[in-house]
Amino acid sequence: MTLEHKPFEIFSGTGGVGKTTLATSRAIHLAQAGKKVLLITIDPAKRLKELLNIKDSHAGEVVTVKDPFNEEKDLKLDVELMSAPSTFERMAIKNNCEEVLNNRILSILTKPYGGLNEILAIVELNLQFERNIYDVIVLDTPPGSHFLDFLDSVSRIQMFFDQSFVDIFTYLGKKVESSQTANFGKKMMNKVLSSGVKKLLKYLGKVTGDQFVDDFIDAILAIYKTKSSFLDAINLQEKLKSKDMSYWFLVTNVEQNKLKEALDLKKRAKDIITNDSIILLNKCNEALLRDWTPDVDSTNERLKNSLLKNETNLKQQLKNEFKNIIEFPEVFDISPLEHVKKLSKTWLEH
Amino acid sequence: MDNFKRFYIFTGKGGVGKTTLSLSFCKFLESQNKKYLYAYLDNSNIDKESHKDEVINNLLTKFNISSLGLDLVSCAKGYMAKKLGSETVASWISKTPFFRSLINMIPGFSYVIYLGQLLELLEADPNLIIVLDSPSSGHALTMLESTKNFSEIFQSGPIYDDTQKMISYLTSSDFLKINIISLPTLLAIHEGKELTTELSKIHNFNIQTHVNHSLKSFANDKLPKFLKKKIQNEQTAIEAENISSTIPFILNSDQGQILKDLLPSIESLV
Repeated sequence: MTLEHKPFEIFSGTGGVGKTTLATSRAIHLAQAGKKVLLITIDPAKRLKELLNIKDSHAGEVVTVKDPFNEEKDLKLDVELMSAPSTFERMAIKNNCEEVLNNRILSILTKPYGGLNEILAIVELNLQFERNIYDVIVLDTPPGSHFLDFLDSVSRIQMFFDQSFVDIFTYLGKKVESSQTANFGKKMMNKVLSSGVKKLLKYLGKVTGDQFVDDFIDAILAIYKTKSSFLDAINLQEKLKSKDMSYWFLVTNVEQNKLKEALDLKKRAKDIITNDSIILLNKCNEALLRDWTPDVDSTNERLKNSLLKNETNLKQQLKNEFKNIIEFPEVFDISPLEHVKKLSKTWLEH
Repeated sequence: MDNFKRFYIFTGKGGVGKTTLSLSFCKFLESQNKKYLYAYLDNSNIDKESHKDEVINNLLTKFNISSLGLDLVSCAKGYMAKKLGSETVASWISKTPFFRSLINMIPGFSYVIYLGQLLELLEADPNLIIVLDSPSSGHALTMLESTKNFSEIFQSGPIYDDTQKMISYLTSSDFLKINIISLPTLLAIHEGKELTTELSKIHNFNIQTHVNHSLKSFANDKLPKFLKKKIQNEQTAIEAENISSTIPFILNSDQGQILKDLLPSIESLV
């Protein structure tokens, strides 16, 4: 049996569990099967660049990796290290408003750890999907609670563009589009702000300084101009929810015993993750441990039992909660690429 | 004169043992007759489904740890109230969709206020030591980078002044120590080191990386080949990355026993 590919294959997990390595092994497995694959990592740690030898300067671009294992095979795969500033730039270009890139607040917030990373990741995913050239987009999400931010980002976008804003935006939209003067935005903003928002900004100014309020209004106007990309990204959520469109792989490993976190992810993401999500359990050593017969009552025996108990308990608990579990053996080679190569073979068996 | 700092931040990827080590560290401080507070982000009153907070709460009660769980929204509200001199106005502001979306879109904003709150506690009580069980590495970066980002964003006004003050505290090596917890694999240690590099780009912090769950003390001739290889890989990684502090894998599975068994290895975290 082989897992049939789907347009979106999303790898999530608690961090340091082998998520990027497994996502890469999956992408390579699919590319070997002749699929056109794009692998995106939105993990700011960018483990991928180490694995596939991609330079930091290529962050934000789609790079084609040829023959990653140097086997002189015709194997190709597109890879992107997600970069929030590049996504924002693409949005600005798409919406014909490159001047928003000069906004001071936004350029700070779109830095890799500025806080907008997850929201822009959804936008980036949608921009790539719209290009309509890939059979599969494999997505390596940020670890743990950042993954939840990623899931939450759709509702955050919605909240940001909530009714009161939408009203202002709609009004401003007409005016902004017809206006040529540079100073126009701010004037307009002042004019249309409902008294509540105006009062709010006045208070905010007392705490944050008036300069911030001015810059912030500019930032909102800038975001407004790129609004359509944000709103398109909201529609992507429907696709990610559909069983036909996406796999959700939850990655965990024996070493970290992150059962609670995996369950937490499952529970909190239940509205988005399709209910046939698959658990990938990395670093399994059960068979090797069972083959080992240490001396009776020795420290080695305690070590064996302790390691074995960790692993079997975890598997049992996972079986109670998830229908599908795929086990990956621990790889003892030190080279990361060798890891990927060995792991990509396990996909053949599933 | 002792070597203790006033503020400890524990960070690292998920599942590396941050919570267990920070709790054990609190127990260690207790054994040294230090006044400590275990601080963590508690979003349970905002997010009813948050699972982990429950786990932490159980541990805190069970092991009698003095603790402070703060959520980001009430931190922000409290801060506004103080700066504006009015609870009512602050409470009104914090309820507006505008403010909520500001907080949500810009998580760094509330992290700065959260850090500020902890620093105030430390200022008010010169004997107190705070142990912050920080959200995973990315969030910790956002939190610490925010001090810099927001002093750039605000440029003037009360928040700017506060961030300047925060930066001067956080960059003093007698005041703050960041313990990055990692695991004994090359990849995990690389990640720990990368976090150090990223953090050092923000400010010159006092940082130490520790490798947890180390198997090296179990090395012997009778181990099967794969475990020998595993320990050998661990050793290679630790040497290649110049790690000075390792914390052993604990054979016990009982939480209380783990906290106790860790005590002898905990001093390197000071």
